[in-house]
Amino acid sequence: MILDAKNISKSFRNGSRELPVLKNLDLEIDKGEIVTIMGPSGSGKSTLLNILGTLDTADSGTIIVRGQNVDSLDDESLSKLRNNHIGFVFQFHHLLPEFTAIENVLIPARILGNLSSAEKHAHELFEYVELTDRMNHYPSQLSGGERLRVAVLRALINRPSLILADEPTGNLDKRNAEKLLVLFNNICHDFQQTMVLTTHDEHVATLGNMQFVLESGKLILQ
Amino acid sequence: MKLSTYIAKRFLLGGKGSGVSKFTGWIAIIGMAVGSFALVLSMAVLNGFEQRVTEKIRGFEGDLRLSADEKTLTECSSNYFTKRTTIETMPFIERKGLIHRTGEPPKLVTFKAVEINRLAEFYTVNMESASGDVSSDAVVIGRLLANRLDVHIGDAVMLMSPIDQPSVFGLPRRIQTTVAGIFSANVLDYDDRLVFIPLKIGEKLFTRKRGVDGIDLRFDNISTMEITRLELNANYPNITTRSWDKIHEGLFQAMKMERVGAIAVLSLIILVASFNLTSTLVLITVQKIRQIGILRTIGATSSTIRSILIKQGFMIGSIGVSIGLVLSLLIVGTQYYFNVLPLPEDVYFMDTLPMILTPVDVILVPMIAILLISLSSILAAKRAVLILPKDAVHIEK
Repeated sequence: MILDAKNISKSFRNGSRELPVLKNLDLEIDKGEIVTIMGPSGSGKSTLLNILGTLDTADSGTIIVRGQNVDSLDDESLSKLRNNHIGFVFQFHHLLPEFTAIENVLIPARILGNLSSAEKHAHELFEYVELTDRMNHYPSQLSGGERLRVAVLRALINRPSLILADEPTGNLDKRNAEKLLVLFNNICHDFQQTMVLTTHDEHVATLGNMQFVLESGKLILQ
Repeated sequence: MKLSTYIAKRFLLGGKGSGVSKFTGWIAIIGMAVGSFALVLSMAVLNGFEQRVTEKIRGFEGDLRLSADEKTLTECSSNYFTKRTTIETMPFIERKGLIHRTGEPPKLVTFKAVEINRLAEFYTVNMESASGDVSSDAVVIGRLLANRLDVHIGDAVMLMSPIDQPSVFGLPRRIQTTVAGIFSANVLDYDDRLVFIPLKIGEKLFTRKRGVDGIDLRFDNISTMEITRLELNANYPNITTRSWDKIHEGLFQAMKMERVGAIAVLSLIILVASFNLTSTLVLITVQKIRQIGILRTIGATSSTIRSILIKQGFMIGSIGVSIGLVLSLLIVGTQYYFNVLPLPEDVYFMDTLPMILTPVDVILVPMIAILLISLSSILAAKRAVLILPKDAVHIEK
């Protein structure tokens, strides 16, 4: 099992009012699965993804990533876990503007200390997404769709166990969104990649072989 | 290249997206450069003035002064100094007395009776004008005193020693002589108070206490002075030895204090530049909040983020300090060799701005800067690690 989340609860405080967002939520994900989580804005999709990706902590419950309980890990170990096993794709590309496309893709490999072997892999990935001629361009010189594809490559460079994509098509036009979905589909098929994807778009949600709806803090399988 | 160095370098200077940070970075660099430039130049000027004053005082006092009773000094001269050819000696008598022109009121001065024919050779007196024959039985006086007495070379003056009276009811001893030279020391009150007179006039004038008061020594190699002093003290317990800086200890202590004070005050410029550096680094942190969040998301540890910010601080600081240091060294070097910055000689006692730097000064400035840069960078880095990746990644751009 890649990820096992049990009894996850999370609430936010608004003044004296407590707003529960996630209520005793359970989620199990096996290798190669594509999980889509659908829900309207404010339903807690991003909060859930942040908790699954160890960027945030739950009020209660346990998260086990590749057999490791993340509660027992310190800041450094969590950083290593994210670097090694989790790839993130966000609605906004979040590429570092000071670095070229290939440099952006290689940063996780630099953090891992695996730069030399990752360089070949990066070139293969750029070929895979047909962006070889754009890899020495800065993010400001790329289109929105190209930037997001580069962000996907950055998530893939360390061959993570799990990719977490938070509304990746939310900021793209229909054509680019469709292209990105095809890319996700191909990646999962070609690399046996496990993925959790949140969206508010029903069409995007069809990508998943397990499709959930986040409603009243609980995941409902469709 | 280490990850933190690679990212710090790009955040600060590289890439198409570093625009605003690059600008604020350069402002901080200029701040550090101005601070170190001002500190180095000020130290160079202080050193320069100190050296000029030292040279002049040493020129007037000799390297070491011996004081003792006449018997000991004579014994010392004949037994010790005759064997040492690298030490020049000048026996002297130094007393207070009066000098005046006929018909004018007398002025209180210090007479220094020396072997007047060796005056210019032993002391560096900066003779402004001389009759060409200072070996005669004439005196050499300072420029200010010459002006006050309104005397010129060749004019007659009367020397008096009021305390050296031949009898209880007698008049003070008086000797008439001429002015053979006028010197211009431009340091302390030598020009106004000191009159060099020939030793034989001194012996005639000062009768209350006979014999020389001391011997001024001049060393070919100044490093042998301390050994000589120790030997003299060991062999002649009655001898008091005082080096030129001990004779004017108050002045040199004051100059040292002034130097320390100036360094402390001028270090404030670097301190202000460091505050600027801290605010720049905090600003860069705020500007890069999204990037820092992304780096944390993709696996950079908080110590890596801290290291990036500290390295950015050091890059800004070291570039700034290096620019300031190189510019100031260029100016100091140019002034030292070519004297391009003049000073009004009638106001100051020198015609060019003196600038001298020692290796210690050149090391001290970067040391002060490194200390302050470290503090600034650590302060800024502390803020950066507080950024939560989950908040940073939801900032749109």
